[in-house]
Amino acid sequence: MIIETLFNLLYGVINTISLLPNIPNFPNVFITAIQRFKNLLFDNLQLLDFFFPIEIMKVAFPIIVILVIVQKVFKIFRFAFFKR
Amino acid sequence: MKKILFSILGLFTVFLINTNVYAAPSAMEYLYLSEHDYLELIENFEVNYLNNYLNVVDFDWTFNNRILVSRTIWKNGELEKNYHLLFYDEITNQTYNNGSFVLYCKNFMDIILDENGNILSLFDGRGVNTMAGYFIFDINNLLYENTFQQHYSYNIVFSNIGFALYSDYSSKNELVLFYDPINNHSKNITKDDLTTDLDNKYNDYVGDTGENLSWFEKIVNGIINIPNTISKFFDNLISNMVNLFIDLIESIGNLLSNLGNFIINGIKTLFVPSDDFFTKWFDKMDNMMSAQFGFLYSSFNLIIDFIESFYTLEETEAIINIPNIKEPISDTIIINATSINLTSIFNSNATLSLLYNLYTTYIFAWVAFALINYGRKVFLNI
Repeated sequence: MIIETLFNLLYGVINTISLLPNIPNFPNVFITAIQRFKNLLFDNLQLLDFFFPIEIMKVAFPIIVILVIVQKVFKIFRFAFFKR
Repeated sequence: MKKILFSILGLFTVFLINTNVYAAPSAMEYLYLSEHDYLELIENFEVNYLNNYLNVVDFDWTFNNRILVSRTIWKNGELEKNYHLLFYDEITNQTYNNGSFVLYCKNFMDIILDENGNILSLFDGRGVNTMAGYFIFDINNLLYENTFQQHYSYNIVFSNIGFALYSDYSSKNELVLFYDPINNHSKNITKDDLTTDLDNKYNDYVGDTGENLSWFEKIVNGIINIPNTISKFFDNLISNMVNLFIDLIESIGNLLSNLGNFIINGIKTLFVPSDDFFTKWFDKMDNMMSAQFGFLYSSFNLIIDFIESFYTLEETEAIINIPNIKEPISDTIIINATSINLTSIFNSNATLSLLYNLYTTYIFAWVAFALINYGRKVFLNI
């Protein structure tokens, strides 16, 4: 009861942004094209898997993302605090 | 008032003590168990003994829950003091029967039946006709007949008995078993030891039913039975008081238990949301954000969709599908469609398999070193 009430209150607070004008969405054609491209890409990855195992990519991908983000965040903080 | 209370308390104490005391078994002595003791024991008790005397196969019986006592009535309708014992195992659905055995208990009931097997009266061995404390289930489907006798079988949960088994008169067998269910102790005695006692008990039975007594003996017996009647009255009174007390304690326990459950359920309802609350909440939030932020929110969704698709990829066999290759004018097929399974080709050939394993090892090492190198560059860069 208490948890539900808190979450409903949070929703009510966030929902106040609906007073602002809505931002339009992508055209459906564009979204469909992206989906088709994605399906084309991932449905045919088995050949890539043969030469470059997907399991390696699944491990390497988050590490690369983390390294890139760390680098960027560090630069942002350095600029914010030291103006360099 | 105090005297009455102390008297009741004293009687109650005596009752509690008596419930745990019974006579030690001996050759001619029978057990006196309280109903409470026996009802606990009857649930699952064992009789194990080796039959060294009778001309039957040795047996080792384990009983579960039920004893059937088959009573014998001779064809002329004259009541005989013979009980054929059937041991019925409710779990295995097996009946153990030895027709030459007879059940006799000093404190057990005698059953008088009519021709249809209905119970006319019960005799508890102490001269009291009663059904109190006994639970009897008529199972007439076990009725059977032979040329000599009829057997009426009853499923009886005994109370307040110790019992002895001994052989039939006519069979001249010698074995008698006395069984103490509490100490799991059995004792064999000869038929000669019991015959006299058995006859006495039969005479007692006839006397107590009043068939062969004179009016004077009936009066004397009535006077003699007065203490028993008074004793039984107090037994019943105390038993009822104890039951009332137990019921009261159980009621209080149930009340506390229900109260505890009510409090726990109330706390659960207060803090734990319903099962699908969060699912609905996130759906509602997703719809709201999508409607409000349009393509900005959809972009995130597309990226998340890509990442999810990437992480749900599974290792499959590498198959190259080549379609039909046709001559464009007449559509004549030059090369038929075919599939090349690279995985099976590499796995079937030992050399290729070795090379492939080396290649994948190299890839693993290359990726690992590349990541380390990139991490080093990032560290130097910052």
